[in-house]
Amino acid sequence: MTEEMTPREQFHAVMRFQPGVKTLRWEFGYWVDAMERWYTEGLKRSPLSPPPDLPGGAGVIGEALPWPFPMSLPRWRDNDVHTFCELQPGVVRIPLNFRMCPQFPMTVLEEDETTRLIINEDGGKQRVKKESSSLPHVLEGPVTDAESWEEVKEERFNTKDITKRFPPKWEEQAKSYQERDYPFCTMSDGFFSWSRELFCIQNQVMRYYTEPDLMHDICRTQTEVYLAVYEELFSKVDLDYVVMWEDMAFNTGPLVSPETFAEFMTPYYKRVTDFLKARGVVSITVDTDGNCWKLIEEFLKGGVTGLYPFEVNSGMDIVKVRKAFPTLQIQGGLDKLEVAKGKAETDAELEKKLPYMLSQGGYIPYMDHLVPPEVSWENFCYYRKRVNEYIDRYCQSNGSG
Amino acid sequence: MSTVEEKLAALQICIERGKPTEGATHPKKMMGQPGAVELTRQLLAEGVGAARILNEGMVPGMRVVGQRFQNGESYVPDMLLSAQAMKKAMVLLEGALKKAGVEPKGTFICGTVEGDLHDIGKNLVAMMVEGNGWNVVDLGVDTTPAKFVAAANEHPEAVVGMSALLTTTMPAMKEICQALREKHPHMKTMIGGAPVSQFYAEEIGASGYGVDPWAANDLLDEWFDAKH
Repeated sequence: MTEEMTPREQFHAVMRFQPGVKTLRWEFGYWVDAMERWYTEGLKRSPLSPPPDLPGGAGVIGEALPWPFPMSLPRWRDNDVHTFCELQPGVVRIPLNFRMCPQFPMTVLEEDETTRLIINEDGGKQRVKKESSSLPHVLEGPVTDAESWEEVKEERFNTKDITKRFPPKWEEQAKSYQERDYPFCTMSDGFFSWSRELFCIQNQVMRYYTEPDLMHDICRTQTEVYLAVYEELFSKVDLDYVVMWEDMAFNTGPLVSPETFAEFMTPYYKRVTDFLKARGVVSITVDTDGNCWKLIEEFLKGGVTGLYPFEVNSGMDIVKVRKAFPTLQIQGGLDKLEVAKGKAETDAELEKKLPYMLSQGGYIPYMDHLVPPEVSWENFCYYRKRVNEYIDRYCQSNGSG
Repeated sequence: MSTVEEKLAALQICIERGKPTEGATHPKKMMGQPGAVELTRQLLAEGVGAARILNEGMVPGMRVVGQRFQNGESYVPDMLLSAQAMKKAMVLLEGALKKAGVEPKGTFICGTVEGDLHDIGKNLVAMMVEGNGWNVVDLGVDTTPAKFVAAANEHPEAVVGMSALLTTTMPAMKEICQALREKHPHMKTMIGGAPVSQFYAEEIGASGYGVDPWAANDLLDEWFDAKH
């Protein structure tokens, strides 16, 4: 049955926990440093390989992450590992602008030997490294108080001229998306991360206590912008998948309490997810690193249907999560640090998780974030071969394929 | 509220709940009450020693917040608000502490390692440690081994803390530990951050690992107590 499906159909079936359907062969991605190691260990370069000037620390995106990726950091889409390991076509994203519109002009304020101090396209003051793709050091957001928020709202973050948030020749492009056989998605900030971009984190999180009305107004405005964008989108084409980026947890727990989430995020998530589900979106998945256990219930109350990537080193055990949340769509959760150690450790990791997870359904297996250069090409190939074997053997139908 | 003990207890609550001044709007239930700054000023005016205000009023408040964070009962906003309240009140105490010859417990040098620009975790540790009576030398982010060594040379009795958020920047911790061991073989080092672990700390020869800001603080206190 699975063999007759397009990747799009397969994605829908897996996300709906449909019995008898094998899950997708995807990966999250790889540090460019890992791929550079692999090219010396047997992986063949191709015309589509990452360019040599891609800085260290850049991510080479796998099938599971929306492409093109929305952040302005240097990225590439993998083709070489995809081809060698016989992975399946990945998620395609329509590049909508859910942030500042018009954008701020990118400005370099100062630079030294290794870094630049910039104002980025969303108005944030950041220090970025010249020779690497490390996430920027955020010093200040474009919003510092209620007054500056009102300015930003009036000038750059509102529902005026929604079509300016769409790519050029959007209507023509929409027709090509209608004929697709791949999962088609959008990617935006969640209701925590956009406020973080506006303020920078240390200024943001205290305001949930000291200026609650302001924080509610930000989320309310964000909801209105998103719904207006989606109204326009759905007038031309349907959508399979929505990813909302949060990264709102440390390795020991979330950055804010479930109570804060319940007040300031859940109701806004609910408005957007209700809208999307009514229009056939099969998965609304939040991207959050770290230990997000305490927030899963609130995410579900907000209508979120899935999470990734379930970082193992932060205590995210996908088997325990599946038992606690049987209907949550889960992606990722395979420990890259164990794969780095070798074949025996890889076997133990996969046997511990895959038979159960694959037989329950609603799961796409891959490593729990970008594969680091500690993983050799030999170990990666072994891991991927074994995962593909498990996928062929197990799916949701009484425990075996 | 009239006795010194009552005011010290109230000061602890202000630190614990993150109320810096009487005019602060948070917490709502404490609106209109004196904040950490007003209480510190009153206590000083009544002749209470700065060390007593710090050790019986402020540090216990930060300890409660730190332990609650460790237990998963409080979160980053709570820590930041408490640290903010403490910092504002400390401005009044600093001169008095110096006059009274009260020394910090020691010096804690901290930084995010080279190649890494994340700092929220490192900042929380720095706040906790400073609130616990240490002198903190914060080297910032993207800190080279040379910078760590230079700071250690300036403060040879210090403890050095390193933070990393990325698996690709973790190896810098090994380099820093080695460099410090060569110049300062008795210097204690600790590491923290999302990808690291106790196991990694042992592997690279770090003296300790802090799973969260209060654990880092506890470790510093443990080393301080062992030394004294």
